[in-house]
Amino acid sequence: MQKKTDSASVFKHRITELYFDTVYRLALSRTGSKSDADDVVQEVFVRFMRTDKVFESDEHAKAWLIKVTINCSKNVFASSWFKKTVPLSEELTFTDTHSGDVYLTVSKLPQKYRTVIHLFYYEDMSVKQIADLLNTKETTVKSQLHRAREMLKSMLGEDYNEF
Amino acid sequence: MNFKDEYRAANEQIHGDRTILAGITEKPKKIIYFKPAVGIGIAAAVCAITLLAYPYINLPFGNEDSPIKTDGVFLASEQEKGMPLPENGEEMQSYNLEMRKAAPASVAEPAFDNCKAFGTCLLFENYVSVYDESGNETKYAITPETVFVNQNDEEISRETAEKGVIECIETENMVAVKIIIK
Repeated sequence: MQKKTDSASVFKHRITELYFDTVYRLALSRTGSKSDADDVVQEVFVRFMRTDKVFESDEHAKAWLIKVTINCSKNVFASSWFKKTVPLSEELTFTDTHSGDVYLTVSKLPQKYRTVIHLFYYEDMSVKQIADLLNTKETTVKSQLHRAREMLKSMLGEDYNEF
Repeated sequence: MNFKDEYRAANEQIHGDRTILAGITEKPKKIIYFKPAVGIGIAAAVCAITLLAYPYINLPFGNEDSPIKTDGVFLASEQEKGMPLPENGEEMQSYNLEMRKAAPASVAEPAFDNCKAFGTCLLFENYVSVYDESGNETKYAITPETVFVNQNDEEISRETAEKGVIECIETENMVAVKIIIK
């Protein structure tokens, strides 16, 4: 539960600080564009700041943010203004070449595969949790994960044999 | 190499631009200038002050404790005597206003000896209006030297006089005012 001494305002600012990058990385993974990710993040935190929902814990707030991020990025896809103008490889710079290559390879996957890969490998969510978030069946998530891994294996080569 | 470790490491290098949060504010709270209880208290205070001040407020109607009540006394008594009364509310108002005008400074001070009963008149704050049988008004100033007396010629206070029935008396050569407490 939110601590009684921790007012809603202080709680929201702390959660914003704590999960800002989490939301941004998921938004970037889903949209594949920094500017669109910025738009999604802004929308997510506007909703977060203005919601009257009472969060039971930090994890509860995190789950809410992830869910809203997924919904908001759907709106970006639905918008007629949505178009990818700058390749992600030109927008992002990585200090580690190997990890950068992995990230950019994942970004080339179809959007639905990118999402399950991100939630499964970065957010450490279970198949069931991902299915709940995406309002889909667990078997669908398992299938998408399997196909995504197969595509990644073929794109990354034999160097990455452990998934 | 392990895909998960590399993917996680890549994500850890990605940071969003937090300046986009600059314009985000929380839902504005309703501004309550004062609590409902305060409003009720203010209304109650206004009512209490109005009730306390009621006897001292000169209203053209409805205030039974106001000195203006003398208007009603006059009208009732004069009506019984067959005097013409204003026919509508507007005339009545101007009539009453006219009656409330201050008395001329030069009017004679009333005397109380050798008088005979004349009729009912009106006692105002600083003068007395006397009406003859034709309805003509004569005003007599009430000065600090004016004495109010009862029917036994005993001196009474102004406050006591206001509670009684006011009568006017006159001699052969002058008109006088006498306050009769019955």
